[in-house]
Amino acid sequence: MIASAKVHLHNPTASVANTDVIDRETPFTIGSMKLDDGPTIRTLMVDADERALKPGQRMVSKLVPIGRSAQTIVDLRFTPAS
Amino acid sequence: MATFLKDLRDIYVVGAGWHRYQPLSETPYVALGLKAIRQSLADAAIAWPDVESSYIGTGRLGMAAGRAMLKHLGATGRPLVHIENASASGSAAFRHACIEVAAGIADVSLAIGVDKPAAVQRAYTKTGIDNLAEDAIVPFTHFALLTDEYAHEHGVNPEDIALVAVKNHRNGSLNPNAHRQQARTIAEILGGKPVSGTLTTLQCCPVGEGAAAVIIASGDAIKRLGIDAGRAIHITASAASSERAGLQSAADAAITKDTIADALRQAGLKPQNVDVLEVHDAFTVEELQYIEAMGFCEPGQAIHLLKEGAFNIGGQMAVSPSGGLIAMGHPLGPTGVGQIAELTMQLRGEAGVRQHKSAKIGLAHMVGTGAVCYAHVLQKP
Repeated sequence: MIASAKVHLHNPTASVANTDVIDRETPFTIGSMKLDDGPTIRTLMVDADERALKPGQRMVSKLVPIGRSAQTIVDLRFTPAS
Repeated sequence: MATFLKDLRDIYVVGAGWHRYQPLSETPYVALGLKAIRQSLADAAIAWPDVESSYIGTGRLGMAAGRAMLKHLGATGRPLVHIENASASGSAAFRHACIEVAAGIADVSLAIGVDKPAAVQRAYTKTGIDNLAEDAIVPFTHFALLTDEYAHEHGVNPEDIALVAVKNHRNGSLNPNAHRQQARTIAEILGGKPVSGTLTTLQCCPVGEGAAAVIIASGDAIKRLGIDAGRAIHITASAASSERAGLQSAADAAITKDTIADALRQAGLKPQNVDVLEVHDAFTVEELQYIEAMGFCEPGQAIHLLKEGAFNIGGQMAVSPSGGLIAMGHPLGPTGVGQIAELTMQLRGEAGVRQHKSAKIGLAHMVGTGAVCYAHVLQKP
């Protein structure tokens, strides 16, 4: 993990809002992750105590269910490796 | 072989005007823009028919805002064009007005930025290509992440980065055209509403309405129209760029480094020659990153210079004496034009209580989502 930020304000635009998935509620935590393969990506983190997050910490990817209904919809998240 | 402004005929800013940047009101954009234009014409002591072309920087007004505004000055039949380039819309309008006058196509051009808040969907949400968590990473979170990264990389206390806002709110309190005109303590800034990461509302720019206008003229026009040459400010460089592949660091800082280096090279100057910098400080960490990217100091040193007062009005280099985007405000279209107007006042010695003593060289810098970057150098002749 290169950096993280706990987000307190969020106002999704109608175009981005997807009725098939659960609304994103604040606060949530975003992280910048440098992948082992080189590229850096940003996405949400789960199961992370943001107070304990430190740049340089190793993270692992995780697929998380985000669908409202029985239909299976998953999205990529990151969580501390240990 | 590329041609630069310095290879063309000399051009000058001869007039500047504003409508105060402010929260959304019922004032129509036409009234906002006309106030700034009329002030700039009066400042230059020229008449509207003397203006041969108009460049209108705006991001949120909708299609063809210009003629509905300019016709109130008189339908002169002269060309006008609208330029949208995200946060840098006004900077782009200024650059293209400069190019037209420098090239000799017009003798006198107007660059006007005018905007009012309105919901405008960013095009990258309509590309048909999904991005990972894109809706959750709006600009303030992008810069909250960069704040965390900067603090970790340089061993800086994130709360110290908020000192940028203390300086800029103080400058804004001296500016009657600023959106925010109240000096703030570090406790007030840190105690404000949390936004993202360590950023609080007072560390983020307010996006309201307003207008800024400047008149660009050739030396020939200055003589022909009897403009006061002693108040004309020489535009010695214009540089622009966009994000390229392969960057190893945040795009905003990387293209800032390249673009400002280009502008300073065109003007034959070093970063340390700049007396006044109007910088794209939409979020506190940006000011530090861009001062370092322009080469004024080594990476990680800007925070120490800030604490020493180096970037205060009266310091080594006055940074955002207008209040910057954090206090002056960021109404989008007007922002880049307003920077040029502030530098013009500073280099003339007409900035009043915000005056940076003996200012001779000014640099204006803007980035815009995309990402794009602009840099302009203005000099007292």
